[in-house]
Amino acid sequence: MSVASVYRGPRQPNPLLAFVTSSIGKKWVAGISGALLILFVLAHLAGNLTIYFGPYGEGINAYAEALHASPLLLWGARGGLLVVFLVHISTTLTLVLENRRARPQRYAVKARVQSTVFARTMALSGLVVLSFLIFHVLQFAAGMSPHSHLYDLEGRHDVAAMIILSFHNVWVSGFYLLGLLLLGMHLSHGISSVFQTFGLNGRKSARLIKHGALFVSWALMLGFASIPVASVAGYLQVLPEDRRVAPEPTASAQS
Amino acid sequence: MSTITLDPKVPAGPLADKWTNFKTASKLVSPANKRRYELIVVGTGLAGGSAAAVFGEQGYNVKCFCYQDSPRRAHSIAAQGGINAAKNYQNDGDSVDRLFMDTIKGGDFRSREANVYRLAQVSGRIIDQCVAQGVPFAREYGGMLANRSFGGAQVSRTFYARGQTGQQLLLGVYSELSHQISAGTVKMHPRHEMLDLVLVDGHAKGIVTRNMVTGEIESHSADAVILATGGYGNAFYLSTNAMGCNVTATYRAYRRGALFANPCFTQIHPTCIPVSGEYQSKLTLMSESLRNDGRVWVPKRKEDCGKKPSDIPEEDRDYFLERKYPSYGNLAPRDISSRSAKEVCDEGRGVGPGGLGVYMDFADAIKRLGENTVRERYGNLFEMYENITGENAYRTPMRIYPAVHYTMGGLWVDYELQSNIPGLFVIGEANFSDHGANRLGASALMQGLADGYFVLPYTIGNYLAPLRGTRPETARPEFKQAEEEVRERIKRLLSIKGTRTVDSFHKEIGKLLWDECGMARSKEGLEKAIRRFDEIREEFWTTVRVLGDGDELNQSLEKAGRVADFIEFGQLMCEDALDRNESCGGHFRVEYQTPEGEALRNDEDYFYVSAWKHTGDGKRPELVKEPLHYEGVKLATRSYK
Amino acid sequence: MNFHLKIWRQEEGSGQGTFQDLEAKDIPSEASFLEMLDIVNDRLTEAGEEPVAFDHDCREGICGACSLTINGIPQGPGRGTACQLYMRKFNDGETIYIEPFRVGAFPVVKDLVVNRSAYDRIITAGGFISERCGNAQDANDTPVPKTVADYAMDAAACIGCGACAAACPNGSAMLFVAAKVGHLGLLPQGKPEANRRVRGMVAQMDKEGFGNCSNFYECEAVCPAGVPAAFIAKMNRDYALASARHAVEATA
Repeated sequence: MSVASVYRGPRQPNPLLAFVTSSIGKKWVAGISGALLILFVLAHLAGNLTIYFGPYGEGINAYAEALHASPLLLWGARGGLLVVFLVHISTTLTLVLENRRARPQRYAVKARVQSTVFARTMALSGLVVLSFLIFHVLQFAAGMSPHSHLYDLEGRHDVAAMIILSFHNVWVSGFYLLGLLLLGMHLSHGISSVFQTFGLNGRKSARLIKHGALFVSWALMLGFASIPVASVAGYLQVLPEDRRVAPEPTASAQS
Repeated sequence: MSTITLDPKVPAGPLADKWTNFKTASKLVSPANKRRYELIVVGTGLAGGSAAAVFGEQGYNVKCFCYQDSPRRAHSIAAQGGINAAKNYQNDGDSVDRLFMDTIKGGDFRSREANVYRLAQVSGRIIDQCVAQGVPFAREYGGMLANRSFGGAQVSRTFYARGQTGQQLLLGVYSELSHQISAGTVKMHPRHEMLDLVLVDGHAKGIVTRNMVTGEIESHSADAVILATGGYGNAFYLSTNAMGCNVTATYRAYRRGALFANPCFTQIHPTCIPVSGEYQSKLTLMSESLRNDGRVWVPKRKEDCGKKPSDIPEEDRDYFLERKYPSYGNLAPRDISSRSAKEVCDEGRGVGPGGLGVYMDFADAIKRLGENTVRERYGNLFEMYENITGENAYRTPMRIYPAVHYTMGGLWVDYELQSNIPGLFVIGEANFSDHGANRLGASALMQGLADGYFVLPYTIGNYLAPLRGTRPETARPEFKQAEEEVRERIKRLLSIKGTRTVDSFHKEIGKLLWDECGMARSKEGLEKAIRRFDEIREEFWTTVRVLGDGDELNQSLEKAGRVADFIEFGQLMCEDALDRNESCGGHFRVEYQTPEGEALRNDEDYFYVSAWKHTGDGKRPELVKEPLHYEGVKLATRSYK
Repeated sequence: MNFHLKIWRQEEGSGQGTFQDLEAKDIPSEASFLEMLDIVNDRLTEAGEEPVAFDHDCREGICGACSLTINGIPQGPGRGTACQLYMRKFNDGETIYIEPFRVGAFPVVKDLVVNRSAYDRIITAGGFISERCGNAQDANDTPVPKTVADYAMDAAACIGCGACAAACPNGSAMLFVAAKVGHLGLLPQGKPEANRRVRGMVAQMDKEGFGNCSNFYECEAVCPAGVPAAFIAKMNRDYALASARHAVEATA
């Protein structure tokens, strides 16, 4: 038996590095970060929906207070989330650039057989969502909204008022809805893609996953969109100005 | 009288022991020495690909060539139905002897007995090998391999992978070849066409190729040259062969002194989609496996031919194969089925455009098995049929007609698969030995793999062992001269700048061969064709138009070279058919038939292999006979009644 | 039938090409797409112009040599290869764009001919079962459930034509690679080296410069052999598990 005919398999210096720099590995990184972001979106929606509990949306004030009760955890989570965002964005942009390079010349006739518009606009929808997010964070989380300094009857930061009053501005609610639309598009492809990338898509389950993902994405978006709609429609009311009390000095700082 | 005598080198001993005896006595090349050898394999189909892979595994250095852009595209890939093996998994009485007998009888007693016996002996191991390689053969629910039956056999011994058995077997070979390429033992040269064989001191020591992308003419030397370049069915222009299939490699070897055996033995496959027009470039086969469940018929009366098949009642249909051959019925061998179809069409009872077609009806099968089972068995074939003809064969019967499919003839080889030129080995469809005058369905895949995997790797040792490193350099004058001749020929083709396209010549000789050397041949027609070939060759070399340059990808130039060889080769086919004053297998001479129209064989005078020797341009070839000897089989009239 | 063709012409060795306008007149509707090109080429030759180079061989949809993009769709509209496409599927007088496969890893050789050797090199990097001819056990010694054999066959049906990569907006070869990984990985015979195979083939695929999968599924839609994209999912999983195992083994 000749030694030359023994195939030794691929040699890679570091298995982990080889994985994350491979095409499929990068997809996994994008998928894992995407999946975490989907979980965050879910949690975020659950938090937002507390605005419907109690009068004047004070459910969300209680929720916000609970969140701020342990700053270490909150900042840890925020830091983690930022990292996940950065990883997701950098990985997917790398993928996009590589993909461009892999197809240097386009066809003269553009034909689309079965790819969805959601799939083909992932980079665009992702970037618009990103700009929306920056605005969103600055507005609501970083306290740059003109309505960020109100306090409710129990002296908590009146998050509900900040949200509802902001949405009374049609530009704000309009931009918010646009952001949601694009996020919905992004998730429409993103959620089912996570299943495909993780290898959870079977031949028979593929349809179910595809439609399930569409349903979940747009259900989520409806949930988010209900808040600006309810605000503008007057279903969500703000604590009247005359009943508002001044904050106690010990109240948690805005953040 | 011939100037050479042919020694088939059949080993001594009883038929069943010959192969074992041979292997015991054959010479070996030691593992350490194998790497000092270089072998050239031309062609990457089942035979060439498997041989190259095994040589690589054994430690030889292999240079492998194919004209396609990848070895995975060799035309073995298009075989649909299956591969035979004497496994007797169905417990229906199959055995090595029975497969041997069926093959000999199927070949109408014109194959070499010892070769066929060996083929049957190694057949079982081919299946083992393919399964080990990951070929996804059809299985039963218990996980065991499934079988179907094929023409010319009364047992189920055919293994299959849907309607794509050839593809799966070839991809198995290709994967093994790829393994060796990665191991560095095989160097692959795709898009290279062999244009000449180089002889040094009378031994085959290399080839001249053209790089089909750059046009470069290159010489390659080796210790031995293995040709696995397939058949010459494309001489007929319309055939089931791939567009690129050609006779050039074997024909060039013939011109260098290799004998060409039985060139007139060509197989016309009974179940192809009928021709629909002048522009047609190729005929599509419908797998013979369809005849397991399809019933072949034509209307009893000429007047009914124009009617819709569903309007013809049962009693007005002539199931002619079942009528004439009750024990084999629709599974009668290919030559017989084809000729029967031609007969009924000649009687004016053919159906479809031009009356050149017969029905193959699945209504009974659908009634018996249900549409789903039929779909499971033949779904892709029905789809293909619908795609090409626009007709749904679940609702209306298929129309089929015979078409050129396989060529039993090929370069003459001995028991070691070596041609009369030492160092030149020929395997697969390119040689002549195993199928006689007619090949049974699912036996081509078997033979290709048998030659490449289990025969040649054992038999080549006898030639190689004594050589040890005597391979010549390509700088030798023999190579330079061959290169020069190749360049000269290309230059000539490009310089004619005539008026006729290459294809028009190809169509012309194709029609000539189909008419005079097709399903029915006559002395008169063949003589006429032989004369006509001289004229066509003359016309070709004065009026052909080949555009472009020689130093780039030039498909017209490639085709022109191949057609030029087909023209000369077509004449050789006719010479052979003219010499053989008998009817046997695929060779049907109208002068020699029984009163019922069956083939009339003449064992007294024609129990030999006709091997033809090239004697020079414009001269008639010389016939060299290899008399056949049968020990295990008694010659009998071939009956499938 | 008559057609107005816009055919990509590119000289050998040049990175650039242009569309040539050609009229295809009086084409029989039963002609296949490649036969239509034959007719056009014959007429070009008669007119003294060099015919269009295109790859083709078996013309029955199985060899995978065809590599035409017709009106933006690799292998043309409908299932099957370009050779299995018939002119009756087009409208009389239609303008038809014929382009080569456009994938970075498949450089154009000439006109419509591309170099797909990258696919061969991917197979060479592990798309096989290492076994030595002559020592296989009896074929029925290892039962393979019919469902497994059938599913493996679905993947094995790949004809290696490259339409998947050509249809992918990213020029990704995932479906091709996944088909071979799936075919061999599903069968018991292919399991011993399944991990090494998937890592080797993916590494080679990346090296060849194919793009990444964005789950568009255009590949699946144009695949003449109907290989489902579920095999890509399977490969994603197999690759991750194989890499994990490899990492564990490397540290153990």
